[in-house]
Amino acid sequence: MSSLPSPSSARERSGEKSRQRSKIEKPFVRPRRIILRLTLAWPLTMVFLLAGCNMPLDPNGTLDRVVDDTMRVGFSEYPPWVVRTQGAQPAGVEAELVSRFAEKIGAEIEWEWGGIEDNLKKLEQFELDLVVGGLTEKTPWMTRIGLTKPYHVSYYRIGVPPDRSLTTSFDGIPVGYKKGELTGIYLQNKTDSKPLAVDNPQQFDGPIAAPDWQLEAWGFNPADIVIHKTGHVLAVPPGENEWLMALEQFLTSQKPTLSNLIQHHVEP
Amino acid sequence: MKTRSTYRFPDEQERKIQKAIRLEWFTIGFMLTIIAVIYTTMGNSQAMKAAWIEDILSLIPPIAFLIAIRFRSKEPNETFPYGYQRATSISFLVASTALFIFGAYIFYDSITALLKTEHPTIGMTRMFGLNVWEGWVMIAALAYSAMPPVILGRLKISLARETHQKTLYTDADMNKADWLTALAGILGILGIGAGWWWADSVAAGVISLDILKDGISNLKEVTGDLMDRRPVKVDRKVPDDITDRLHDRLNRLDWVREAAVRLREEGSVLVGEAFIVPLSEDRLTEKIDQARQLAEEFDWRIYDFVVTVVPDLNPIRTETGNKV
Repeated sequence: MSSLPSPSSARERSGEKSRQRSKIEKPFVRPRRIILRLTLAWPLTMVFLLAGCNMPLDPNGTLDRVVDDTMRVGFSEYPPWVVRTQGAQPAGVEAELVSRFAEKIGAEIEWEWGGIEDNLKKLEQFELDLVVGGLTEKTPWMTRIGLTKPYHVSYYRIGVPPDRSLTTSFDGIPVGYKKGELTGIYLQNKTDSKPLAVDNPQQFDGPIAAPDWQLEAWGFNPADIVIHKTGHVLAVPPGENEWLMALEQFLTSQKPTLSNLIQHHVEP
Repeated sequence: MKTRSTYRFPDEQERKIQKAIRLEWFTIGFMLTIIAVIYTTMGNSQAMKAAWIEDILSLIPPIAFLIAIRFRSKEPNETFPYGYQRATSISFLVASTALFIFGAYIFYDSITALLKTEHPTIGMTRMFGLNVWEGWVMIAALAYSAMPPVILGRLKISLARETHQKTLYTDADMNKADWLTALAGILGILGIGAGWWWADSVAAGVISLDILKDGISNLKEVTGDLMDRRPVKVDRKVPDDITDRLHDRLNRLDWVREAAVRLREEGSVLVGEAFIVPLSEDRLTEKIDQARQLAEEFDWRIYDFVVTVVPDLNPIRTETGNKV
């Protein structure tokens, strides 16, 4: 008459077996894993980290090519950022920034006028080094070319003439904006006011909507309401990260002088 | 109708399961922080996008485990007389399918990016008042993403072995391998820094193959389970010898001429039948019940074991493959 095996010993046996298994597995697997990690991963990473002082590098060598040489810049008109002039060189905020940058790196600029899409396509094919033209950070082109971080953010606000008092609500009130600009759409989307397209908003007898730098130039007092926000960027060829870093570092250094620069180029 | 009795884990296993449940909640919490960190830093990197998707997918096994655990102790009823043990298998199937589909998708995505020769743009960012390359921030995020899963994975894997919880084991195994994902991503970004535009897509491809591999092996495992395959050890490397051992034990009973046994996995429990040719028909009911009890106490995973007596075993091919 065999007795029933006690439940605990059965459990013990299966537990023991798995413990023995893992004991056999562990010392075998562990040192191999560690060696694998050490030999593959860390030296590679170390080499890169040491070279890292120079990182990132340009796959197409843009920065190396441009420094002390020629910079091909494509431009399209978009006041006040880029303004076409009689000469080969454009005026405008972005044109000025690019000129200063070129001077800093000892490069001569080859300005190439073109439609914005054509210029961006050339940029994508590495036939231009930089493109300016009032580009904004949300442009659908961002997946195909490189963009700087916004060097400036414009806030579109509603402003009142200096002799008027500021109200908190503009519901149902006619608000003027420059004919042909997107400001009308922003007003429609964000407020319950009555957008009114006018030829000369600065002469409008009532509240108007415009970017903050424009309101400043015209002497209008901005209200707190922001109807739109846009970040302004410059475009570089895709993946040219060393070039991009150099440009971005320069743009950051220009921040203190930027509002004056914008006011200088804005229509009074 | 006779419904199954409710399954209960033995005390020791119950304690371990509770510990595993806590660890899985920790896993979910940490993974959410990792997902947030990677999302904010991923920028234009394909490899980081792949790592991000992998991290989101890593939420599925812990959630599946926690749901399955809720179901395991639910009482079988008229609608579900066999109980809710299959809930584990179903959650496992969902997790594996998701891994497979996403792995395939990201792999396709990386290959197209490579063929289109996309050059990822990774520029500058400002941190703590310094101008720093975004790539460094990405690398830091990836390094962080490797740490909690690897630690938690190790803690969970030993618990998974002891409690024979396959979903837990799979989850822990995937967590432990997260260091590979992080390393691939880091090397990809370092490659971009070195000017090799393809490094990022290649890293993304490697990560996606890892996800795909996990999906395929888990799908194989869970379809076996749902098709009532013989029990295998929780790390799936060898079949479990439990059927043979139970077979031997039953054959040693003094009233048994011969016995055949078959077992299958149902989630984390083992269910099966024994076919016994008795020496005599004396006090058969009592002996059958004794045999059933013996089997259920033989291993804590055995549940709802059915013993039946047969005149002979010949028409039946036994689980152990012995044709009698």
